[in-house]
Amino acid sequence: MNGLKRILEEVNQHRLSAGGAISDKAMRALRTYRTRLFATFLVFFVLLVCVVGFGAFGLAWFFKQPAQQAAFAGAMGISVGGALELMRRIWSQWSQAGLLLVLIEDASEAQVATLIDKVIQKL
Amino acid sequence: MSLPRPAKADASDIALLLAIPLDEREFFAHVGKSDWLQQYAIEGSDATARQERLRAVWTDEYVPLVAEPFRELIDRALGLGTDVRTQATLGSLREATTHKPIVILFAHWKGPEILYDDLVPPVEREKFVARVRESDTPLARWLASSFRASGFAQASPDQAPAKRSFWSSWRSYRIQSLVEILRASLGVASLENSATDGIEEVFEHEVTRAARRRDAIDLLFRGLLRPGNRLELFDGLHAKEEVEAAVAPLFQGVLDLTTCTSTILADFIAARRQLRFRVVQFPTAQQPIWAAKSLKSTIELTVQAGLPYLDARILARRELEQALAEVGPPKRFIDRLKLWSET
Repeated sequence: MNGLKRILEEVNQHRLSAGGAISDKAMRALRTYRTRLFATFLVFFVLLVCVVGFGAFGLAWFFKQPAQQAAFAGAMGISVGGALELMRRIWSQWSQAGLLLVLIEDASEAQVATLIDKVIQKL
Repeated sequence: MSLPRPAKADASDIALLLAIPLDEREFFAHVGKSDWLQQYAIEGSDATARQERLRAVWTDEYVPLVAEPFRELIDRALGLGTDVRTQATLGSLREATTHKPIVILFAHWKGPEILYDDLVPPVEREKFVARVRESDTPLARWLASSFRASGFAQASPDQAPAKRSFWSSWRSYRIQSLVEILRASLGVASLENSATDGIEEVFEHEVTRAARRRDAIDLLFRGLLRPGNRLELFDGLHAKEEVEAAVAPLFQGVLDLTTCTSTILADFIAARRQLRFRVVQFPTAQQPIWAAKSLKSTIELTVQAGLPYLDARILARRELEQALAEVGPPKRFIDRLKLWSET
């Protein structure tokens, strides 16, 4: 399930607590989620750099062995491609959460509740 | 110091005060004016769509999670002979604490959070800036510095620019709006804690700090900001001082404050009354369905099993937690509660 959707659904669950405010809960949850996404992105980025570095070394190492080189290039293509796609998704979620935060910051409780409902429906 | 444990009680010793809408008419009437239900005050020009949305909220959310569990509680409590008062006001609290040794109050607590809705229109930043310039408290200085850093308040000519670390400058660069700055001030540790106080370090729970800071903010921006730390009863929002004053002077029983983060109110009342009675309190938000089920079991255990109220309260909570754990699969608390209440 979409991480952002899950976060917003969890916020919605506490809508009828006899205290607190939905905007406050949403902002806390979204900020935590963004921090987590950012940390995950950094980890993936470091891994990607390592894989690319290792790949470049491998390609140079197997310079005179085309079969090995092809296998190495193939493995790199899959892993780097996969990592890039994951990073793109993380970045996209991070941006969406950021946009929601901007909208929620200066919105009334009714607007926040409506916004969350609509975003959950669309995601 | 310990208080003597309250003796056993019968049904006529208990008063149950409920300060939330319990039928459709009350719900619709309160959506526009209640702090708790303001999230359902949907704006827009299409009145029919608004009514439909509100009716859906009533049927799909409010009835199963609030109204129905409380109706069950009321029926059971009345059946056992307990005094039940709906649409509770400060007057109900005064009357109940005058005549009953055990008073249970379920209501919404407007916490210390600062919301956009709390700004009193028309919102003029300049007025907020002027207030902090007029004050010389550590909170006002912190706010003035944050206002300047966020770019919507120029420093007055006689005011030296505040020294800020790289980290605090970066943080304030991210904070843009007035509400965000006010919100951030609730959580800033050690604002009032200077070396000149002779105190090395103060340990304070973040809920307590936020509540205390909110009181200071309300005082600073009186008239510009709707105050926080209020108990919502059917006659409006009340400060903790008003609630304490409404408790009968000779009350010496148990006051069960089943409201969110009632520790703030309970601490205040207990200190003012010098711990003359026991206050059941909660440090976190309360789910109405959980509260209703828990109170129903508590009243049954008190009246039918003859347990002292406080023992019954603890036992009821444990039983409820155990029952929820046994329901199993759904991981979400609300889903488990719903499933359990249906079985």
